Formats: sequence, structure tokens, C-alpha cells
Amino acid sequence: MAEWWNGLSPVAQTWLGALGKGTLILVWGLANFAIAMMLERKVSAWMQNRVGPWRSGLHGWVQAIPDLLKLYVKEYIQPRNVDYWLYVIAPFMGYVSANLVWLIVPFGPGLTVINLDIGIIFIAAITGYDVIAIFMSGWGSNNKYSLLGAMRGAAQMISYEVTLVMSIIGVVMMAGSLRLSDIVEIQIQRGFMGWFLLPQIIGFIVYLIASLAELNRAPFDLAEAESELVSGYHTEYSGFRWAAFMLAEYIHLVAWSSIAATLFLGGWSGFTHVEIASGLGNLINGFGNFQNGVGDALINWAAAHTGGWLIYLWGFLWFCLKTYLFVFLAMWIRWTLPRVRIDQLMDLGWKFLLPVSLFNIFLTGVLRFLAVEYNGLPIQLGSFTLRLLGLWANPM
Amino acid sequence: MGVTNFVGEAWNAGKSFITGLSITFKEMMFRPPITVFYPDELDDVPAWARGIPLQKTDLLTGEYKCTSCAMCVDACPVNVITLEWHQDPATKKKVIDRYAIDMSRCMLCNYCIEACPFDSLVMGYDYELCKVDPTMLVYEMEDLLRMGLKYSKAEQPGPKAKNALPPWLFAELTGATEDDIQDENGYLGRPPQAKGYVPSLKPQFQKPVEEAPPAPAAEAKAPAAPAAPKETPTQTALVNTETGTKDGEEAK
Repeated sequence: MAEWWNGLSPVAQTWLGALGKGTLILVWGLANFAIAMMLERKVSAWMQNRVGPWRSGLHGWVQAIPDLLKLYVKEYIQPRNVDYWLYVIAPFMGYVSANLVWLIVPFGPGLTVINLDIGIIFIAAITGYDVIAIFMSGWGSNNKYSLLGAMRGAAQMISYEVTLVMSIIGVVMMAGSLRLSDIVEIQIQRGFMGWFLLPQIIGFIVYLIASLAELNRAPFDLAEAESELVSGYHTEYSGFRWAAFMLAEYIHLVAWSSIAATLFLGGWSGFTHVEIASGLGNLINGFGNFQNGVGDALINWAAAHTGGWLIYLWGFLWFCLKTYLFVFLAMWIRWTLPRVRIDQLMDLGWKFLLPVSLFNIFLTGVLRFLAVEYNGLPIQLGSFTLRLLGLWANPM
Repeated sequence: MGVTNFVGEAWNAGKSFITGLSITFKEMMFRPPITVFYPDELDDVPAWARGIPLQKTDLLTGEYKCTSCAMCVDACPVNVITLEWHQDPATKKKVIDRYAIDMSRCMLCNYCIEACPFDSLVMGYDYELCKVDPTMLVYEMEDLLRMGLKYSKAEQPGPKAKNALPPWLFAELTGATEDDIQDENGYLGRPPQAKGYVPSLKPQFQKPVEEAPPAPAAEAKAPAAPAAPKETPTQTALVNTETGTKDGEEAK
């Protein structure tokens, strides 16, 4: 396989590699759509003492596939006097923008489609892309509800984009890099529980709220508020065009959750079989106090089995676990809180979250400066506090 | 808005947010679903459920309790009840030619049951009334009687009891079948018989002839209460003999 690959010309390698990676990303997005949608329906059912979809597959867990097939064969109903090209292209534009996020997500050590050195800026750029899709669909539909929903969506997403990027800046300041894989590496270097979750707790909370608003999810789903606008910007869509909006929504959700997991929960970092075995060996050895054969054997086994493809599998598993932690959190919030009003949403974004995120940047800067400047100096209390907050550059 | 207000509001918002999340989490983890898997298992309906108006049968003779008085036809606000009858010259009673309820238009208002002076109609619990052919939604007398059998009791036809709980409040499920008709000549949908008709019961419904009066009980009671007047034991004996003779007559 490797020989065949190396024998190809660079141009063919580029094109074939791009094709393969793109296919993988699209399939991965679809799989995540199926899982996330089923999870949403099941979680909402459990929280409301129902059972959810039950008939197709084991306890209804493959309901997403018949749903998509049904939507695929449905008729496209198109209202009169639509702006045709805007109307037709909009759903697929949203779908593409949702899938774009996956391009820079590190799934494991070295498992990235494009390891962009400006990853965070790329994220900030493609959030704006989704606004265009929503506004195109709202404008093109020739419907007052669609237009209202699109206007709301545009206002909401543009204002929360600022907050979202500001909340990530703290992480970037601590990591010193815009590359997502670098951010994960630095979190691993910081040692046990060195995730940016604790030192960046303010940024984390702001990111959580802002990403919910950015995703148009409850309690901030004002762009498709069912009780006021029929279905918001996708009122006039049917069939697979509508399904494309649904696909985009859930793929977006999982993609943003994966970004959150990468930035705040250490991405693919986590225990591997090597670490479990050596830790267990240390425990059996009493941390060197009473060495015995079993503990030594475990430690030796761990030392002999470092490396190999299992590392990637572990990284991928941890990444998925952390991602779906956030997906579940978003669903939990959705089925708990009622929808906010548009003025409340704007107040929250501009008057609360933006100042808080700016304060977070200021605080992170000051603490980082103190940590770097006075490293090694006998400011016991200060350094202890900084260490406790996890802001010390190198815990060594 | 000062800084303290700002922080306090954020704190309160976070607190109520956590409270809400914990409530939904408890609902998710510790409350079983209340779903009833409908076509596989049927849910119990409440006692006041209105499914379909049905005709009761008197299980003693197998006659239908309806006397063709047409009170239900008058009471029906949507005119879905059809009634045709003639008088049988032999028994001098009205015999139903056709009694039908068009369930496609019936609105289950319970007025016919309330109007029925002979407690002949009952609001049944049956709610699976879908039909492929809409004309099948016209329920004829046979259907109504057959479905109403499980709400029927063995009793003489007659007017409602005065000052009692209205019998149409809750349908009483007795679970009777066609085998529970006690008359040997009885059948489902039997027209009313002449006034003095005495049914001859099937053997399994004949009450066993009671044994001798329970004199030991009375005797045991007597020493305990010596002051009791003499008339009490004699009265009980009289009653017992009476019932005994009655049973004997019915058996014949």
C-alpha cells in the first residue's frame, strides 16, 4: 500500500488524498448526524418520561436512516416568486459550512485533514459562512416568516461571533499558538488535569453559551422559533432541501462540540492502554515500596507496547467521548430551558458575555504575565495561587 | 447597574440554571417512561370514559331491555339514532324492527344514556371502532347488543330506581357472554315477552335448594342473651322457610 502510494506522482497524491479525506469527512459528518439526531430524540424523550422512537431497529435507534430516506423521496414544494438560485443553493451552502469545521479538528495525534497554523482564525471565518446560508434561504423564500427568522438569525449570529472568538482568545494566549493540534499538545504537556477547562473557566462558560447561540439551538433558537415564526428561515423548504438544513444543524452541533473538546478538554489526550498498565503496575508495586513480580510485569509490558496504531484509536475514542459530552450538554440545556426573547438574547450577548470575555482576556494576560515574570522568585503565595489556577507555564 | 448587581445577577442565573438542569437530569435518570405501546397493549380507560352507546340485555331471559320508547331518539342532538318498531299482537309489547346508531356522526355526548328511562343504554368502554368501509360505522341492533353483553346483568326489566345513583354515570363491566343468558329458551336479541312470563332457567343457573334453617346459630345465640324476647328465633325460622319454598317453586 505504502509503495503504491509513494509511486504515484505528487499531483495524483494531492488529488487522491483530498478525495479520500473529503469522503471520510462527509461520511463522518453523516454518521455524526445520525448519532446526534437519535441522541437528541432519545434524550428529549427520556427527560419527558417518554421512550422516543421505538419501532425501527433495536428500540428505534436506526430511525435516522428511514427518516432521511423518506425526506429523500419527498416532493420539493416550491412557492411562487422565490429567488430561485438563492433558494436552491442556500441549504447546501449551510451543509458545506457545517462540514468545513471538521477540516481542522484534530481527531487524534496527527489525525487532521489540514493542520492549519491559523486554525482558530479559520474557525472564526467559517462561522460567518453559515450566516450567509441562513440569510440566503430567508431572503430567497419570499415569505415573511422566513425573512424574519433570517434577520434574527443574522443579527444573533453576527453578534455572538464576536463573543465566541473573544472567549477563545484566552485559550490562545495560554497556549501561545493558533494551531489546534498545538493547543492539544500543550494541554498534554501541562500534565495531569492540565486541560484549559479550569484556568479558562470563564472563557469556557462564555464559549458554551456563545456556541449555543451560534448554532441556533435552544434556548437561543430564535431564527426558527416555532411558536412565532412557523419554522423560521426554512419554513418554505421541503424534502431533501429541508433535510440539508437538519443535517447542517446537527453536524454543526457535533463540530462545535469537538472544537470545545479540543480547546478546553484536551482533545484526544487521555489514558491509553500503556498508561493504564503502567499506572496499575505502579499501584501494585506500592509506588516502589513493595515491588513484586506482577507489578513489574505490568510495567514491562507497558514499556514494550508503547507506540503502534492503538495510540491513535485511544486518542480517537477519547476525542469522541469528550465531543459527545458537549453534545449531551447542549441537548440537556435545550430540553431544560425555555426560549429567550430576542432583546434578552441581544442583552446577554452584548452587555454580559462580551464584557465578561474581554475581562477574561485581561485576567488571563495579567496572570500569564505574573507567571512568566516571577517564575522562580519567592512569591510563595502568588505562585501557589497561580499554580492552583493552573496558569503556571511549566509545572516542572 | 453596579458591579455587585452584575455579579449577583450572574450568580442567580447560574443557580437557577443548575436547578433546572438537575430537575431534568432526575427526570431522565429516575422516572420510568409512562408510554403505553398502544397496538401491542391497551391502556385501561377511566370509569367515566365514553366509547360507544350500547344496548344492554337482561341476562335472565335474554330479552333486550329496550322498550322502543324513542326517548333516546328525541334526546339525540345529532339525530344519529334510527328506530323502527311494531307492536306484537300476541304479547302486546313493542318489538324493534331496526335500531341503529350511526357512529360516524355520533359525538358521544351521553344524552341518550341519560334519557333512557329503562337503563337500557350504556356508554361502553370500547374505543377501537375504526372501520375500513365508512358504511360499516352504522351499528345495527345485533352489533350493539353483542358489544353491550359485557355490561349486562341478570335483572328484570323495569324503570330506573328512584333516588339512586344514576346507572349511566359509570359503565359497569360485568364481562358477561352469550352463555350467561339464564333462560333455556333465551337468545341474544330476544324480543320482550308477555307480562307474566316466567323463565325456566338452565341447570347451571338454578339456585341450589337451601338446607334446613340455621337453627344451631339461633340456639347458640339464645343462651348468650337470655333476656331476648322469644319472637326473634321464630321470625328467622319463618323467613328461612319462605325462601326455601320460593327456591323450590323456581326450580319447578
